[in-house]
Amino acid sequence: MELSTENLIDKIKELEHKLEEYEQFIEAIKAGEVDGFALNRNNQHEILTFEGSDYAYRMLVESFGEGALTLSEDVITVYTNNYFLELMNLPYESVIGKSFYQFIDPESQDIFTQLFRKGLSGQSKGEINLITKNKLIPVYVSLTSLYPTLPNVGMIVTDMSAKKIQENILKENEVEIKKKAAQLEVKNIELEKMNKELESFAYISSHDLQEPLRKIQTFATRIMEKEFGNLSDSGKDHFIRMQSSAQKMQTLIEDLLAYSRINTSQRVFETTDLNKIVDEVKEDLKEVIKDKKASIEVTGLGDVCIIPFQFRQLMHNLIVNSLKFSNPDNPPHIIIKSEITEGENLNNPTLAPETKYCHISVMDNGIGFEKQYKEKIFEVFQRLHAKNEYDGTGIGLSIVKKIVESHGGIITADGEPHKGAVFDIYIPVG
Amino acid sequence: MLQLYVTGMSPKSMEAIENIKQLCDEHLKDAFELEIIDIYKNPERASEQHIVFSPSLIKQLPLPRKTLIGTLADTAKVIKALGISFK
Repeated sequence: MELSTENLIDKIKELEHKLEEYEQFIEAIKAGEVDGFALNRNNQHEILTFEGSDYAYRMLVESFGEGALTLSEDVITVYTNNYFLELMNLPYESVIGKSFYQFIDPESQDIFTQLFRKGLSGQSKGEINLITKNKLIPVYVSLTSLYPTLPNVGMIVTDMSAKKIQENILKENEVEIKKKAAQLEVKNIELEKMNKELESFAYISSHDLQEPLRKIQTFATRIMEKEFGNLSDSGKDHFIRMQSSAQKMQTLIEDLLAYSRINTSQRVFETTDLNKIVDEVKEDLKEVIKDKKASIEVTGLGDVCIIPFQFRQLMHNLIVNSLKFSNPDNPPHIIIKSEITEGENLNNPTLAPETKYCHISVMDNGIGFEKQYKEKIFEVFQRLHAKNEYDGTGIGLSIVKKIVESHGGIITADGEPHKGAVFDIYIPVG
Repeated sequence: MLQLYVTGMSPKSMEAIENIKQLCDEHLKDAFELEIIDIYKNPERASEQHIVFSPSLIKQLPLPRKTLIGTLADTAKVIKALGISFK
């Protein structure tokens, strides 16, 4: 075989490289930098390592915070680490070479047998209870087959006592919560019952009151029509006063009924155009508006999710008030405005800054009121004027406030004597 | 492309992993792709490459293929063997 000079040079280079490599191998081995060998004996792959090269594994198993054991096929403990001995509070001699079953709570033994069988052929995990000196220890075990190298099963034992205690606390809390929920349920039912009773009471009493009242009014009117001429002057006067009292009583009963109905009636929220509500109220009051030469200005009113019939009542009461408490020389001018914005942009510290509110304001140029009464005016039957100055039942504004609260909102009033009053309503939306 | 073959938690294996990591970060940056293979977990790959010693570092690319064994502690030797210049 003749090789050219070129080929020879290449061959030499190749051999040089190989030699360099093998020299490095020998150096590394001599320096003890190699601690593992992968051998191929009879087509079996085998990995050999030096003694001491499993140091890390051993430390891991010996010293860390879990129990580690090796069990033979007959469930005899052939190895245990320290942690397991500490967990069970037993000396090494009581564990090694003994059946592992003696440490398992009788109730858990069947489960363990299943886990062990599964572990023999692969892996298994599960919860069992260990028992030592009459103390039950809940543990989580993880088993792995060590086949084919060893006819054993390796097992990691994790103490679950802390976890179990937490679980028990949670369970107890759950029981408490369920109890409280049941109590609330009972209270709820009671309250609903009371509400229903109140509703029927209000209805019945107003109904029962209104009947005889109507009779009084009817007969009084009939007498007035037929016998007016036969009455003396004082008789006429008495009759007129009687009619007016009956009328007042009528209004009072209607108002009381409306007040009681606000929370007891069905609360159905609908997206409603506020303009429509105001128009309906204006229509109802058109006689009075015409009489007083009143003007109502409306801006920025849009759609809001409210209880329509309640809101109608609210607008009715506010506008009636503005018309009633107007300056005698000034035709009433009512401005109704609305906007939707976040609580932080509104002039009321009790509002949640991040919540969106629909702010409706009803402002008039009437007789107003003194600032010190701005809360009193919402109280039931609170009147700032004598009965003969301005009539009314004194419930109107309390109904308004109740309606606002029924929508989850708040209402404030502000006024200046002789200048007028403004009512600001804030209803959370969205 | 570099491949480091190790034997699980053996002390020299762990040393080699540390050393090659340092080497790659300081000198090789993005020049080389490093793969670490545990021959306990992947015996077939070890026999494919005819790995005998652990730890072993194989430079597959660029050619020529080169093998280095041991802890790779001597940075200069490793770099020279891999055929790259110091950055």
